[in-house]
Amino acid sequence: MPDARSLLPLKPVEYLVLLALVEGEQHGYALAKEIDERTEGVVRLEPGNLYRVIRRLVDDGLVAPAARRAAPDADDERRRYYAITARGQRVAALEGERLRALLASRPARILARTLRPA
Amino acid sequence: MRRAWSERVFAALVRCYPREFRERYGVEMQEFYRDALRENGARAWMRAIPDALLGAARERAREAFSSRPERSEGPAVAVAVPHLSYTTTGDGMLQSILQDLSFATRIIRKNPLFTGVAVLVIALGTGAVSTIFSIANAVVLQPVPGVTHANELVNIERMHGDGSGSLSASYPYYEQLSQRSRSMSGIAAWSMVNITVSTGGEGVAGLGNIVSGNYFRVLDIKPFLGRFFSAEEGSVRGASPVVVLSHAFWLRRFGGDSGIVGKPVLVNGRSYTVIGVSPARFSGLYPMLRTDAFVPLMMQEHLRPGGRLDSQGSAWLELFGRLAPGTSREAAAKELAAVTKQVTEDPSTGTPSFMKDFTGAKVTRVSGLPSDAAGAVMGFFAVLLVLAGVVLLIASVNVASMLLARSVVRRREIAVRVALGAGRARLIRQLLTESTLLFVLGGGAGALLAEYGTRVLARIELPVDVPLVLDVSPDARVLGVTLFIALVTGIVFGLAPAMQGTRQDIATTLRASGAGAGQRRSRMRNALVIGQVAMSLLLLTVSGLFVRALDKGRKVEIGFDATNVAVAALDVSTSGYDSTRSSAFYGQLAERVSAIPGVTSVGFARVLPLSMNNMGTAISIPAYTPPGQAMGADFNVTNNLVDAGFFTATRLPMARGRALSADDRARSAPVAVVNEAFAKQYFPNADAVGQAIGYNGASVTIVGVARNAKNGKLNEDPEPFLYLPMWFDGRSATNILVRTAGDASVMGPAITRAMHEIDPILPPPTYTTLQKSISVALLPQRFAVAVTGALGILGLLLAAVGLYGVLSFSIMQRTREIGVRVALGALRMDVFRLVVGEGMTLVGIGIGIGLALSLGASQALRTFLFGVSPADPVALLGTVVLLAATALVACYIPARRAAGVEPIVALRQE
Repeated sequence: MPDARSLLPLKPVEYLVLLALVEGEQHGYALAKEIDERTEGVVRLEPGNLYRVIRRLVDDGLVAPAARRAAPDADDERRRYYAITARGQRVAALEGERLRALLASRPARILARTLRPA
Repeated sequence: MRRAWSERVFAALVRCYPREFRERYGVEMQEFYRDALRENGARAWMRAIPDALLGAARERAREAFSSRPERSEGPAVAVAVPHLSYTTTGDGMLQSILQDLSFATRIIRKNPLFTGVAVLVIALGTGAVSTIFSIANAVVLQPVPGVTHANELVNIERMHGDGSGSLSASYPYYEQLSQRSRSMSGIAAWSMVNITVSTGGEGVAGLGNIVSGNYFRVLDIKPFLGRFFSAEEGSVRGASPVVVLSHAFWLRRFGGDSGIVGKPVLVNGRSYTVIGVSPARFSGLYPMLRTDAFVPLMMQEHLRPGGRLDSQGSAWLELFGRLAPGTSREAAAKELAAVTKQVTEDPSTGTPSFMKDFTGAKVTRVSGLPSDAAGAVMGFFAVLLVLAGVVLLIASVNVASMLLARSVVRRREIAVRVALGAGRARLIRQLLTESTLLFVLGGGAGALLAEYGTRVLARIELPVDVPLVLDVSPDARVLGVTLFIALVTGIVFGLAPAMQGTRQDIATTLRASGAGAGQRRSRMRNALVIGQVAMSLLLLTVSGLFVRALDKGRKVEIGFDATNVAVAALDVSTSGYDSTRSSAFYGQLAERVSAIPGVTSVGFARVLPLSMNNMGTAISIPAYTPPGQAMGADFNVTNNLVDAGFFTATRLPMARGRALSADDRARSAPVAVVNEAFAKQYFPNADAVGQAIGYNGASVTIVGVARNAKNGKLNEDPEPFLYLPMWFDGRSATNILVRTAGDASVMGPAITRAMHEIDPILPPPTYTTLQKSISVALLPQRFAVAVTGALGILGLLLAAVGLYGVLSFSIMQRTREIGVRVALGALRMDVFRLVVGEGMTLVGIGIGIGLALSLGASQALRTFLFGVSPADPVALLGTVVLLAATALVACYIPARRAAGVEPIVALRQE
């Protein structure tokens, strides 16, 4: 397994998926919905794209499929849940660190000022 | 409703992903999609379907290059201009394809109106093609479902030595053939048989297949429950009352009772043991026909009372076989023809004289349709498919000219890119990716339209007395074909605009103001409009011809009166009646039904007139020499078995002599009625009434000559026809015809009541009217009118939109020029005339070419037209007027706009 650092930078959508899993396991649709809400509709994942991202994260060992169990919101169908792995937590934390450093840089701060109302 | 089909479309899309991905995530993706549908409805599929389509393409690409391009897809920030470099190594190539794709996606999203219109237009075209293809796919292209190695299965038909004619097989012929043939690993025989199944009490009328013992072995099918026929059940006569139920019948009648095997049921009044249930996907060799049960050939004496198993002359079986390993169809045909010749010419087989010519055999692929119907049906669908293809062509041309127009608008963007060093090939590829993506999106939407279109078409009521089951909804194959077509048209119709769009001189373009279209470009657009007009005229003419044919078919003199007659098929032998009991029953039934208020007469006929069925029988006439035979020899003539009431119930008038009468039966001398064509052909110089014909070893006297009537098809010429009394034949299958004073369609319950007063266990028949039943003769025309009408109107609208678009665009380009003209004193009327004249010139040329095309193409339709000429002036003139009027409207709007150009505004415009 390659070093966690070599996976940086994460794609924004990968980072979002990892963030959405930090507080607990989720099934695919709930995951997409949470990301939609968190980004206020800017990132909307459809099944085709979502599972391509999940596949990549699973292959890199950042996310692991959990057992199938009934979803609380949907009848009695059983869903596959996904959980963030320890490695995933580490990579996401490193990515957060990287972004923070980026945002703290001088040019980023100058740019941020341009958005503030005069 | 929508949920069901959009989920199926999505499931089909999931099948497009590489196997590995599909197996890991396919189920979950579908669950996701269901959730999204539940929450967001239509918005969910509008987003998810294109996404899944693109995802599948990317996954396929990833699989093909088996690298992991996603990680190195380039900067996450969107760039407006794709990389200008162009490499052909695997990874670089893939990368630039992906780049093109994502750039194209952005362009497509940025112009929602353009995209929407283009996708809609393409969807209409591909939707038309895939609707027709879905139906053709279900009807002719699907092999028999549920069978292993269906391509090894062949139909075997006996025919004339010269390859004409066609004859079912007799049982002795079947036995000879299976014993002597080496080219087949097995030959099986079957026939349809009416059955009544009950578990005590009122029975259910069903459609059975009576099959040889090896039927399921040759098909290589495993039972769903229990077992199929054993060697003994397939060879010992009358000893094995056993039945295999079809899966659908088992579900419907026995509620899927898994303990059914071993239980007794009453089949045609006798106790049969259920030994098995056939698998769900298999429903006999003609999957369009419902099959309820399979019974062994060895029980034919009970199931077909009066049928003669050992008679060479009794041809009633259909044969099919499985080719021996390594044998071709041609080799098998040769061998079977040789065996047939041997059998026919061997005097010990006792082949009757009228079969002596049937010394050949034909071997065709088993197709789910009777082989004589398959050819005609395929031809019919081929015509419709070509017409739908024309609609797609018109639609694609529209999109091509839209792309062409846009490439003018984008000239500056393209010039900038060229100036920055982009190669022309690279630019063409980029533009092609855009157009292909548009077409693929349109193809996806077209598949959805096809799903809807097939539903509408499947709802057309078929006035036939057989239970049809047909699943015409698009499957993965249809979806695949649609996407393939979309891909190819996208490339073909995107290429010309892309070539045109990138052919330019940078310096002039960058300097120029962006107005003014190149000579070449407008010439190309004009050619496109002319082509569209010509093709839509072709479509309209074809549909016009079918309308005329339908009209003519309705007015064909059928020779009898079909109004106010209720009809139903009856067969009491399936309730255990022997021939004496059944003829007594029909006599009683006629009496009771006649007593129902409103009934004026009751008759019976083995075959309903104009039901596209006919039967033949061998007769002889002492002084007549059939072609190629001895005087007085047997020959075949079409006939029907009727009773005295048939002539009054159908009001079939007599030309000479009398009709059959109820007391003919009691007379010792048998009698028959012939039609005028019969009398004219066989007794040209004498009065046919009083003449004798030989039938089944007896001499039958002709007592009357009926007027010619249509019997088989609407467009047939009068043919010799023989009406034999129904009591000549031991079998009891017949149709009751009840003429009423008022509406015949409400008579059913009263007739069933009369029947149940005689015997309450009889299954209630299904009623229709004679009028509905004969309308089946016009079915191909009605279907064609519906389909070609829809295609024609679609084509017309698309062509009108195309014309409108081209004129509007050229006026936009020429605003300045028009402004100058007006400033120099041109009247508004002149400008108006100029634009309309320009448009209508194109339309005129298009109409000319279209007329020539339609005259050629409609020759192919001759057989469907009931003698309406392919150059029918009404149809041609009508369509030209319709087209010209529509075109005029399409020209009017841009012309008005041009006439309204203010010179000052126009001249000030950049």
